[in-house]
Amino acid sequence: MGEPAVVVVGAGITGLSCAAELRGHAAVTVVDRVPVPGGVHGWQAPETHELTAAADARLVLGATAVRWDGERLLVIGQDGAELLPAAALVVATGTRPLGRAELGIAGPRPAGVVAATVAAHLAENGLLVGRRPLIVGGGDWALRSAEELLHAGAESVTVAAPDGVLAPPLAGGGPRLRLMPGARPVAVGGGARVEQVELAGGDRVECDALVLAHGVVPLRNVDGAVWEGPRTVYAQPLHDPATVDGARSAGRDAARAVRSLLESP
Amino acid sequence: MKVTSPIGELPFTVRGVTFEDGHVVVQGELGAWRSRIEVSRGDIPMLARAFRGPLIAAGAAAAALVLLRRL
Repeated sequence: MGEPAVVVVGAGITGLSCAAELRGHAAVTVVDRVPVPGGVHGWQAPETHELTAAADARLVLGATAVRWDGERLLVIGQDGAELLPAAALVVATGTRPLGRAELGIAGPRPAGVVAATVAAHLAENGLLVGRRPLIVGGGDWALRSAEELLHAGAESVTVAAPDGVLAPPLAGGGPRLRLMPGARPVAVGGGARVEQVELAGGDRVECDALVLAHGVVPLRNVDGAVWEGPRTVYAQPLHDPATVDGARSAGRDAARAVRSLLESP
Repeated sequence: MKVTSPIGELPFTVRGVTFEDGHVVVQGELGAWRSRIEVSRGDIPMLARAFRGPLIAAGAAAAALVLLRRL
């Protein structure tokens, strides 16, 4: 009898570490929607090269994991749909900041409300979500978004940290950086675009975009594995910032959980 | 080669260059995605404009080098 098949969704450091740990115990396929491995750490990172080689797994990149039924994962990629049979699924799809509803931010739905991960990514590539954005949150996502937005040409960036905690480089401030520790946005206002954000206590901040960077929750978007999926292991360390060591550790833990699952009837 | 896009910086690997129906076709892979770049005659003015600066700089550098060698 051959090795049992295991599918890992997410080719970041966590997913690749899990695949590397499972080498020799399972036939592993790693799926990622981006056409390169490495996740947020990037395809050029030495850890990505090292773990990709160590895992020696089948890589299905540039393909989206859609649905898991406990026995097969439906994946859609460049060549169409594919069903990947598996005895276990590992969800290593990373994390995201809290969404607008989760943060309890009321009001209309103008354009310009975006997750920090998206805002930073677009700014990195020269696209500004706003010239005077307000960032909710003070951790690593807020820091990265503020840096990228200012670098891309934002006139000013306001950082409202509801829990009062600011990542050290942010706390140092800057000429175009306005810090509001303890400020909690409760409503957004505007017509077609964000025009202002209301804070708890009634103060209003004029801005043209709202960047969500507060909190860290698992990113789960595979139907059938959003909650406690059948024969599913979750490998999503809730660290802010995401560290290579934390990701490796989560990958190793997930591999142990998979082996235990495979040994159970 | 690298391509920067809204989904990030991706490697572009050239697998071959062919001529098809008057087009220069660069076949390759953008990460895991099969990709092709087609350049037609109509693209030449745009490419000439884009490369004008670097070509002038390269020409000036070459001329300066030749001049220096002759001195």
